[in-house]
Amino acid sequence: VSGHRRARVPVVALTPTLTSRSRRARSSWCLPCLLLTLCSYLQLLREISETSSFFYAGGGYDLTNCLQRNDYHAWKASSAGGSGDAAGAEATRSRSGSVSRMAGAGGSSVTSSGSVASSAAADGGHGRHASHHRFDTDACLEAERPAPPVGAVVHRDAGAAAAVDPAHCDERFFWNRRALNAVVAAGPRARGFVTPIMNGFVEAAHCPVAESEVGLLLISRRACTRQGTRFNMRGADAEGNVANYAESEQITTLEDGRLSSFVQVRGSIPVLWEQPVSLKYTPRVLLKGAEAANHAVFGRHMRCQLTRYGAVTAVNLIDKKKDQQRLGEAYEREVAAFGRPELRYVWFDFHAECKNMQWQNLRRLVDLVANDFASYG
Amino acid sequence: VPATVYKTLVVDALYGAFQLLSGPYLAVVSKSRRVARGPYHAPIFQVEDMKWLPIRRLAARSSSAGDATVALSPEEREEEEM
Repeated sequence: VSGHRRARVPVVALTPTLTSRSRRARSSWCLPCLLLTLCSYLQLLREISETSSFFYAGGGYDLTNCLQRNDYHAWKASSAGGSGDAAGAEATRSRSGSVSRMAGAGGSSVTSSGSVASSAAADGGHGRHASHHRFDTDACLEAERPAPPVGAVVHRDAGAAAAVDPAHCDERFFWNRRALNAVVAAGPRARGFVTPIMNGFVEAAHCPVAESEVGLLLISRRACTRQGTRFNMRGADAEGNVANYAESEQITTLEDGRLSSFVQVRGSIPVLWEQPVSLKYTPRVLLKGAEAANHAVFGRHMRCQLTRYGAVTAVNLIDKKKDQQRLGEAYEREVAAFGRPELRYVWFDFHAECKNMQWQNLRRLVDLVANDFASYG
Repeated sequence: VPATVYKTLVVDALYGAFQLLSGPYLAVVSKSRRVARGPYHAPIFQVEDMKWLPIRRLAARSSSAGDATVALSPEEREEEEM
């Protein structure tokens, strides 16, 4: 089997089992048996869809995209509709009655909606790596980093909100995209049937702050690529998708309609590596692939992040010892080889810095990325 | 609703279509719960229950020779109205 001499023994042992099983299957391949197989298969599917039911959909709101991207599409739609100028925008407002304003940290009533920062954390062994992304409207190329221009007032027409354009959805978090292929292919006519469903977690809370109510909304989106359990799914695949990638968005809403959104992403360390389970408490980390292959995979992954989020601060939280050190160094090498100034890399040895539950030492990490945070707005 | 369809099922959303061993199936969200109000007061729903509907059987139920999607669309029209 696959050229390994040692694998020969199990093959010999398996062969009779396989043949006998197939013989038995052929002889008893009757209808009840077939039905039983089909029923249990369907039962399995049912159980999957019911037990792991952290599936969400937004009513008229595209939950696969973060707030800023949603606003961008709404803004595009409204400006494409011939109301791009201020007068037209006012008209839209009075008609739809639902106007939202995005405010930056500056707090002025209508400012940049580009003050969204995001960060990421990835699982590396026991460690995590986090990266912070930002949307920078000033420097952004529209096609690359969708965001309404500074000062834009995003109008939302309640009537038009019913259908979501599947082309605008983020494929990474659009879990039923493939299952809806036929419906999406039917074009705008069938758009009412398209409900993008996202897997992850959503929770809302309200808290009174100084005589007004502040709404907090946490949305966590799991990517539908390369999901798997700890140790069994690690690193990146050939397309640059990393294991257990997730985007978390914290939305704060104020009573006057102002909103802010903070987005973080996390994923496994984007190089080729494995950590097959063994009897050890910590299975060994195996770095895989040639240098060129790792460059290609890392480049694919990071270009995707930079395109979607703008500048990225990658925070690597894994240990600076043993296997995790080798992994972290591989990560570091890739960052250096990638050589893009938009990607900043911070290695914060979480276990060493915060050992004995010295959580206050996280302040050091906050200090390390303070400038990045300040630049997000 | 055409008279040829005698059973109407109210679903919350269409998850998608799947080709299983026993034929094509539609996965629909049969139960959902509003968990939050998103930005712009958009409701956010959590899927609570899903049903797998065999398309052939549904199509056979309608006396017309129309295909499965024709037989199903009234149900989904209700979904849109919700």
